[in-house]
Amino acid sequence: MIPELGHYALILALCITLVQVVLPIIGAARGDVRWMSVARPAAVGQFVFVAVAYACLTYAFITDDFSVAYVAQNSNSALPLIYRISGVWGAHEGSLLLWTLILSTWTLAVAVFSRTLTLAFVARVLGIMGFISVGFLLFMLLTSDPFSRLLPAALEGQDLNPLLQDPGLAIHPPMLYMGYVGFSVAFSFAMAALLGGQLDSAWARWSRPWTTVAWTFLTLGITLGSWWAYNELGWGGWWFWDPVENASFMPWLVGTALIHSLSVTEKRGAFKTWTVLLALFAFALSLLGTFLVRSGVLTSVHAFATDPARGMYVLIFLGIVVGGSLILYAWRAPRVRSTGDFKLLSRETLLLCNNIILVVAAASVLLGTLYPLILDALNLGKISVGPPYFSAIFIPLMVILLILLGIGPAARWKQNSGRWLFGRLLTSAVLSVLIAAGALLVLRERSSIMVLLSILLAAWVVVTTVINLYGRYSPELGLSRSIRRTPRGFFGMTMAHLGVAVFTLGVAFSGAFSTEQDVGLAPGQSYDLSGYQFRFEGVKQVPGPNYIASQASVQVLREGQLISTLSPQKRIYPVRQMAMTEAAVDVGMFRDLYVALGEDLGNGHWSFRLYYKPFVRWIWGGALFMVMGGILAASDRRYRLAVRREATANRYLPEGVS
Amino acid sequence: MLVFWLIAVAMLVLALWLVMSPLLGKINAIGSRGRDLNTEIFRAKLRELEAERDSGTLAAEQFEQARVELERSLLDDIGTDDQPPPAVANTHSNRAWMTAVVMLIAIPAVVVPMYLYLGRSDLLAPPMNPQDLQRLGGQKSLNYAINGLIQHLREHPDDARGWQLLGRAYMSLSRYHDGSLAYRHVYQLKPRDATAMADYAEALGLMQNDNLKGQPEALLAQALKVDPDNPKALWLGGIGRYRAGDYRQAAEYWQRLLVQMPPDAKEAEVVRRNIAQAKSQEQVQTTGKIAAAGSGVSVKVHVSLDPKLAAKALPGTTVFVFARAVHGPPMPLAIAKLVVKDLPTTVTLDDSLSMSPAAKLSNFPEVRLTARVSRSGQAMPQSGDMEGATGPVEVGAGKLADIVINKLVP
Repeated sequence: MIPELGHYALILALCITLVQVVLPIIGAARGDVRWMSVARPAAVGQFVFVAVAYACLTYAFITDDFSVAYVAQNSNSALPLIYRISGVWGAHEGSLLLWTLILSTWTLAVAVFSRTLTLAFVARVLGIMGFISVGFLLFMLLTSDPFSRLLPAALEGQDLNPLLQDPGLAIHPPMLYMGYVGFSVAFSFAMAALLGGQLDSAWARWSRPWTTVAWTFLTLGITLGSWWAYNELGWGGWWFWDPVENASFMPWLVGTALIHSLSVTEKRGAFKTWTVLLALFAFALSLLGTFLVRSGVLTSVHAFATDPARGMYVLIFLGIVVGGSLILYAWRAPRVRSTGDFKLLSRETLLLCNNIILVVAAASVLLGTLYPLILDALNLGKISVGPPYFSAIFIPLMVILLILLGIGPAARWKQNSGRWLFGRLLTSAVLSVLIAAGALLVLRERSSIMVLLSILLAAWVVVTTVINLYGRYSPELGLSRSIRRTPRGFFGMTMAHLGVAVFTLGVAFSGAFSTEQDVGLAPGQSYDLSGYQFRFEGVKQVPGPNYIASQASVQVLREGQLISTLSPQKRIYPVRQMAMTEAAVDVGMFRDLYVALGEDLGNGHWSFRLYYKPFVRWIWGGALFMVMGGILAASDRRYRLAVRREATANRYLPEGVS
Repeated sequence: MLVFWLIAVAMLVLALWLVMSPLLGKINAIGSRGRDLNTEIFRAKLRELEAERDSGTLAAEQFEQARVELERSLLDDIGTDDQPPPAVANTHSNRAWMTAVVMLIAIPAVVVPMYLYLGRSDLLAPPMNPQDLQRLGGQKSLNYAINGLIQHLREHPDDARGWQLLGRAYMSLSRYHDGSLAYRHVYQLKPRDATAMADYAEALGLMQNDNLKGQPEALLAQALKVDPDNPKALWLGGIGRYRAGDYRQAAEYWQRLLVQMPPDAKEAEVVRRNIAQAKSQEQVQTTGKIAAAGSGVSVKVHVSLDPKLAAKALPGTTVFVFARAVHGPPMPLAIAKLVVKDLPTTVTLDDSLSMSPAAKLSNFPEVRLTARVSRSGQAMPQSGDMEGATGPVEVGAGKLADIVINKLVP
């Protein structure tokens, strides 16, 4: 009964969401308050019914209801509880349901936290968000039904893909989707503003915290994905320029451009139409990313051919969303006026440069991701676009971006004299060169151009950021009052920019100084890598809940001192007949020691892959700095201040309603 | 069933209430007027500008300019305010009522039929008693019966007879994996029962594409040790031995089976024919090896799988490699059976692999070679199979032909 209730709830959700689209948008055009007022309760209804459907599917997973085809394909009675819950989003159908649930959650949040906006604006925003939701609900119900029944039921499920049985990956998709879907808010705000012809201050101010929150989730989601790949794939890498990763990286790049451009629009009233365009593309790329990863096109473009209905639906839906919003943009944008005036050398211009670099970067990732797919789909041959292409493009772009990152926050709005700006940055420049020179002295022959360049850039970013921070301190006010006077958004920016420096160092150092070795070891034998001694103690069989693991015990010693005992595993998941590598990592602030167990070479010998990875934590550490920066910025009082003041401001209540 | 519809109606009522209450009831959250909102933001921004001037991010002369711009943008924002005070009094009228009535009718009229069409309301209360199932007849009733049986076995997992029935039902639906799971229960409950072992072996064999190697053969051997006359074990054991090339043992098993059967039964005829074939094969094996080599006519072919398709082919899937005459009968002249994980490999097709004495490889000068990955394990091509073929190849020329399996059968 439960799966049928879920199915029914999903259909009901579709229906009420259709109402949420039609009545409020037409109502806003006709100035009909009652029709517009339907938006909020309908959004509540959508959330309730999608949540019911989601809960029903989860229930089917937890209770081993193998009469649901999706559960039979992605679960097993031996699967641990946590992976039954995360198994819901383990494949196509359930991911779509999770996406829709998150979209309805964001919609509910907008409905609740928008009390001070004009009713027409809220009605349009919720209507547009509803439109996206309708697209997903229809997609599910017509082509990818998570509640399809298997008759007669299966006795046992085919188990969740073992790749996904990892805590990192269990929470990675929800975080990523929170980010993807969060951009739908920025998108809907922009479209609603275009539709109403009001790209006004209220729009820009309200878009900002929502966009920052979405960006923060996306950053966290990508970080978790990278961390998972490092632990689970056994290659010791943290980023592979794999199409799946690129799919999430593109919206991040455009989203990063968007939060910067929004700051100009909100504070200076400039770049209005550009911001709208970025909001549009950030969301379009999020949609593209979801579909690329989940439609199976990436494993094989021919997956489209085996299920043409899904492929066609996706293409048409993307066409409607992107095409429709571009048409709206072309129609409305020429009438928008930007009020803020600025000179060539100003923070506005610098932020525009930031935007251009980020958008170019996103475009080249898009090209590198789609080009091989398109060639393959047209049977024009197979090419693979990998790290060489991306390095060639990213390194120069990021160098420029990091230089700008130091200048931007130091520059004034509107207009700077070149001499003033130069004077302001000279100290920082000299300090960073000194730091890089010092590093050269310490590292000597171990240094390389890339390492020195990244030290120089990281130092530049840190020094300029810290000097800026210090600039906020005013001796006559004292420390605590200086802090209180500085907006929290400023601290958020500082945090995130420092994160960029940390990240840069992590990438450069782990890339330059990592050592790795494939070795075959007999029990008792050891191998020396970068001053660490890895001693193989032996392998034993360890039964897991739904797998059998060969677990090696490897002692790591340094100068005869035991540092850690690592237990890398090689797991066999019998249901899917898949082998998984579970690397063991000794985590450190300045270095990771990473051991992956390879093959059984016979006679108790096993092959190992050993890594010494200095500073690799800094990569994710930097990303976490950015996440914290995002949280700080989004919680800035200035966004809430408007709410509180508005609550006491004259509420407009038409006669005859109260 | 009743509970389902009660909850369904409750959800429907909730949806209707949510949609209709703003149309008919009191509206208390109207939001701000654009004008007020933008004015309020203007004030806040002015304060921020002053703070920026004080902290130095904005030079004094630019502050003045920014203030002017801010004022201008306020005028713009207020100017574009498209919200004339909406005349709510009007909308409390017919239109709101009409809309509410339309919603009241339209939402249930869409939701309920859509659910009945897309959902499986028939599974809410499937017919359980034998009379109803009988009346329904056919596949559907069997499916319901199986679901009922699963339910029963969940509560009584010790019912070996039930598991056996379930296994048989799954096997009849070609759901071999589920069948093997059900038979495993029987085997675990009756570990000394030869039929249980034979059933389990059969399911496992079919699961690995009709291949009895490995665990199935071991189970069959064990079954025959427990009960040397178990018909099913003898029948399957014979097949297993025959395929392994052990024709003598195969003939012996089938002989033991034959003596248990009424001589005029149709099945007995089949068994007799099998025995004859096994015996003749045995002869061929001992004497004919030289003869087969003597005819000397063969085609060698290298078969590989395109890496593009490799991801879609499971290692245990059957691969047929066969030769067909360029000018001649459409049936294959020689056929070899492999599995995907053997690829790439080289296969030699000769007369020993022919399907009938009338159509032998050595009778034709030119053949076309085809390799097919068959998901169903059946010789007929089916959608989703993968294929590769050569052009005409001369028989016996000694050249190595080459097939790359690179096409998907649509």
